[in-house]
Amino acid sequence: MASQAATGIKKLQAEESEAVVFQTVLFYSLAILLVPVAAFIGSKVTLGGILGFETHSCNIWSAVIAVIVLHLMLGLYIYRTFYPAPTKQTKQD
Amino acid sequence: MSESTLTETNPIYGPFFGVMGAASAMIFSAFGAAYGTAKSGVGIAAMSVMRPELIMKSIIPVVMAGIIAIYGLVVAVLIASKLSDPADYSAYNGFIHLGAGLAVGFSGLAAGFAVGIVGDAGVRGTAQQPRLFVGMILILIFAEVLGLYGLIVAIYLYSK
Repeated sequence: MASQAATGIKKLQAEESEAVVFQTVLFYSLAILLVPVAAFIGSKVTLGGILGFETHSCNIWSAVIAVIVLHLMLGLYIYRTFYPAPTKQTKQD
Repeated sequence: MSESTLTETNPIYGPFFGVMGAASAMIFSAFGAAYGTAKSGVGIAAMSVMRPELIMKSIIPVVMAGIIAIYGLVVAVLIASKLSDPADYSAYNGFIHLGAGLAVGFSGLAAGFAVGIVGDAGVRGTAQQPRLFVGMILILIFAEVLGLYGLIVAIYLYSK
């Protein structure tokens, strides 16, 4: 009985950690894809509309900002793989 | 368009070079990114059978290969936003944009090949010796900056 319960708990933990890994990878993948696009559009609106940059230089600076943001997101993901978030400790009898 | 608006500096085929630049930026960098994704995907699939807990670490080459395609996309969008009628678009602009597109395209192709081969061997090696991970990341970053150099040259050319 005890060994059956132990395998059940192990299976549950494995499923839980799989879900956590999937959530993390999905979150960072979406961040890497969407945040630079948002940064490109946001910086274009800010530089061109509010700060009044010329269209040509506005495009260039928006592209540079988007690429920098992209690498920041990639750096965050690599940091996360080096130092995984602390997982919840479950009590085992 | 009237014949008189087309001069020697603004020929009818001026935008052709710009269009080719935008297309080659996207095509070649996507080529490199696809090779990088597929090759490192083969490594991940082989490695994850025995060590499924390393999946999150081993996805990194795939993400880096995807970023190479984003370099090409950025340059292609920049060039496409500048394309216009031959009367407003000189042959000089076309040559510059063709050069920018080829710079980022071929650098991305080379970087994608490097990321793919390093990613394949790296994730297989990391499964057996986890301390290889830092080395794999470093080599991947050096492969990635090859594409970044192309992007820098392309943006510099584009800003002329």
